Amino acid sequence: MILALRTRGIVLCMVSAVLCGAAAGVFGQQFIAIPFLGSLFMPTQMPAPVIPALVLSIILGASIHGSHCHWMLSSVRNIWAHSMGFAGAMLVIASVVCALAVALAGGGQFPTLVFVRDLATLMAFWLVGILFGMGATATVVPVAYVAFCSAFARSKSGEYFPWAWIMQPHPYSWLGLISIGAGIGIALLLIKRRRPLR
Amino acid sequence: MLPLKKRPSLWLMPIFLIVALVYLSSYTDMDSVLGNSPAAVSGASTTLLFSCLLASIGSSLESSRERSSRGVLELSSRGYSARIFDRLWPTFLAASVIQIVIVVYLLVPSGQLFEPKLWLVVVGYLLAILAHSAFGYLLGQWLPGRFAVPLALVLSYLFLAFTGTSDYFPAHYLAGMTLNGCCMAAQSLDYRAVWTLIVFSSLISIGFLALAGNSNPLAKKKISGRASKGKYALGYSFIVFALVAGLSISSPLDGTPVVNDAAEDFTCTGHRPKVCLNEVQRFGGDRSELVAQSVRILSDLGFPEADRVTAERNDDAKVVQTGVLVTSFEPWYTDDQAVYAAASSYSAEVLNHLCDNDDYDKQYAAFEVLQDWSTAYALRSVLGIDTESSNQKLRSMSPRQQQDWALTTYEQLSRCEVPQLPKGSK
Repeated sequence: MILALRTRGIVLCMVSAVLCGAAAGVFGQQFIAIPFLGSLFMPTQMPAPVIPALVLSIILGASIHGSHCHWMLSSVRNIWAHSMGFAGAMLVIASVVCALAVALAGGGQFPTLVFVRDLATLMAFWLVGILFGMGATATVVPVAYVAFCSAFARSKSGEYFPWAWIMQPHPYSWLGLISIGAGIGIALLLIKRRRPLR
Repeated sequence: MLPLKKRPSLWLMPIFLIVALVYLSSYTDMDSVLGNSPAAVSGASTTLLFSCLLASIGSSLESSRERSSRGVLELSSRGYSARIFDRLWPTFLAASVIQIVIVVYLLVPSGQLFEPKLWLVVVGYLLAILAHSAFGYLLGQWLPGRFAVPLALVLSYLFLAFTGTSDYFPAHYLAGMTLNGCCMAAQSLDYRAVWTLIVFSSLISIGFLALAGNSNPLAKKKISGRASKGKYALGYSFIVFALVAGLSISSPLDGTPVVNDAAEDFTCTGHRPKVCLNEVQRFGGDRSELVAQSVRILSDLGFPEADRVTAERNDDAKVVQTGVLVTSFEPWYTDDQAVYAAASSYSAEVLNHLCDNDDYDKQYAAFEVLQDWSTAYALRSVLGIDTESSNQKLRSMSPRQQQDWALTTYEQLSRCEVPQLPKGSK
């Protein structure tokens, strides 16, 4: 157990989960303007929890990938199940810290829900990268999604495209929920197959 | 030398180039660069988001490969600069190609030749790309690839996207993307913004590369591929120096990197009134007579006679005191836009001098009706466009009463008084 946690960088991941969760809770009500991108007429605004969710997804993805060595593919233990459980536990810890920080800062429920949605969907994007054999570079997928959204999120009339839900300040998005569902599906597939598709 | 198919930047380049071109064609108004090569070249700064991200991700991939393939006691027969060059040239080349293609893409519709001084802007872009390449290389040397690659991407992205939103204006110019605030036809690029980019990017590139490693393979291995203490000091000094120098150069700048063109840059033609436009504003044909005619029909009604109508950016001029009426003119204006802009010059002038008092809202409401009426009158008189003021009460008055109301309103607003709106309107 201790070895399993240590190989996945438990200290780094725990500290990151607490810090990112706290940051998302404290700055959860704020928006970050992105100048000159997204629309001719108005700047795109990004809810602040996106950034800690993105950083945490990178750290979790990279730490988990670092614990997977080729020789482990023949391990009796289900390494993928351990890793997915570890990722889920970190997500829960970060969410609880975020909810506490929001409660202390006197905010509503939105920052926590937005942070959980963002972290879960960005982890789902990382899993898509893993599934298709991107390996160490799979964590680029969530970053690329956020960067792409910040440039193309709005139509010329200033409305958000539905696929850019991560830029929206509220947690209600069917596509976001579908992405989380797809992420859970991919995690189960990886646990079952114990290896990526290629 | 590594085969080209193993250089990630070279096959990522087409993807990034397509995304950059799609972005520009979707969101950039090509009219804004018409006849204005500084606006075209500066406008290309928007796509630094794509070229610099490519530089960052490409160099971090190359660097992390180098780090992971390094043997325990590997000896390098080549110098550090030769190794850096071999690692970074494909990334730098690929990102530079994107940026130069975008410059050409914007320059072509501008219909203008590339001014020699604009090379500085292109040099600034290339140095910004170099800085992001050096940053990616540094992260690749310091961290395992699984951390280095996404962090290079996310940190480059955060720097590019968010320096421009800081409340501290000098910081806007460090990343270079704020250059796309240049320029209206009556403005020029403020080269202090470009020098900020050049100085900051070149110094910080040296700092990153100094931190990334040295040519002693044993020392490199002992401290996980990091630089010696001397190189650390050198690297951090350059980073601090880059910040100080960059912020010092950009400290006099405010939100946009522009300077208003001086009066000497405008050539005046015609008489009663003379119309002064600059070279950019005359691009695609001289329509100064249209401007003169639009102003003349209003001065014939009793608005103050202007000796000179100029399209400078000068909010202080008052036609009554100086005889100079300030208008706006862009080369992409259609005839009716040119008439509209010229006819709204009188109302725009009173708006610039509205008194900051409790009656501001009432004065502003009167300004809106005045502008609406004067532009409708000019469009009808000059171009024969059948249009009238949208204010119903004003429209119900006789033409003579409408003119009297407009003149009285203009005079009252000029004296900071509160004019009466046409009776019954809100």
